[in-house]
Amino acid sequence: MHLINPFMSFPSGFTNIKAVAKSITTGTAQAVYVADSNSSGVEWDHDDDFSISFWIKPGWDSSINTTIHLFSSTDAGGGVNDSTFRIWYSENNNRINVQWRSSSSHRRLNFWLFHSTNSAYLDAYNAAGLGEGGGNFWSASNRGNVGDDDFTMITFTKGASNSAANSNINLYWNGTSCGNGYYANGQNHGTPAMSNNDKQIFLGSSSWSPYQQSGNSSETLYDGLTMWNSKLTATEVTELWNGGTPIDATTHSNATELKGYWEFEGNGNATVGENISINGNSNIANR
Amino acid sequence: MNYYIVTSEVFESLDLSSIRYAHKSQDRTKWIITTESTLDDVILAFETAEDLSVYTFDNHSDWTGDGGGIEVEDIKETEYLSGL
Repeated sequence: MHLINPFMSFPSGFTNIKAVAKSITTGTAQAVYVADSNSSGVEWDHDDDFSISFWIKPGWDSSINTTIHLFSSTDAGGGVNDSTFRIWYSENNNRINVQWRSSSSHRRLNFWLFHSTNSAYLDAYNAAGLGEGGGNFWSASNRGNVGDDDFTMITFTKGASNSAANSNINLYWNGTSCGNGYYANGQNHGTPAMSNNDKQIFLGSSSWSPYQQSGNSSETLYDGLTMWNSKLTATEVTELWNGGTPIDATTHSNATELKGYWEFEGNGNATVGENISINGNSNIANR
Repeated sequence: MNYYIVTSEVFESLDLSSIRYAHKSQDRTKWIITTESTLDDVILAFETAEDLSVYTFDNHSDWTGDGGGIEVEDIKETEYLSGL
């Protein structure tokens, strides 16, 4: 006979041993994506406040010399200019860029660079820990400040203004703010007017070339993608970072604003939101 | 806007403040640049960002390490910062 001790603590059931690997080959179906968010609450437009966070373990090497899209979204079936939001890393100049747009002439952009100790960029330099100068860009051989299993948590937060100014947006490397973006008031062309239609969501690719390879050398791993219907505060980002050990985001103090959550523990099934489709040579991998 | 490929020697002789976009080749001997200035000493010149982008996809191994080229959006929207 087994008696249950009422004071015994049980494990939460949260495990984190898998991630998703975006393919480094180009094919007809290599994407990691939600085809259409189907009104699950992530149909953000230009004047919504929201946050996106994910863990990433770069697989590209220092010879890539080009850009790697980390996250993007667009109207279902849309192209580069159709209510597009994107976060991408430019390995050739060591910048993380963030942009939203509703046409080629209506867009907002800002970026953070990580290799300069100039006082204007020192917060990002310290947050990333990649080192100084052109030989220290982000790659598989120089991952900078990391948490468990060499993963970095990247978080972008946006306020309700249609502005890429530093007063409205923030980027965090792990739990640390990257400080001001390069453009104090954003790089602005026209006035983006995005729809709040259902969105396609892509991890590790642009929204217009989802089947193209991402990176080179070895696959880049992504994990713990969360999408929030509010601008997370620095304290809330720190809570999510949890010292480098991913948490069950449904237990986060702001979980009521959690509109999308993918753990990739064996598949692309959503803990919150719609399931992500993992296609072609993209696959689930060990962290 | 003018779209050029120039040697590293030419690149280093330019007024870098006039350069809007710059991307060095994989072997670091050449640069793709866009500038409002008109240059004579160039390897190649292109009419549009689209033409330049197509060229980089056709000759990707010279310019990137991922088998792809440089997208039009990167050429048009990525600002070159001298010294950064």
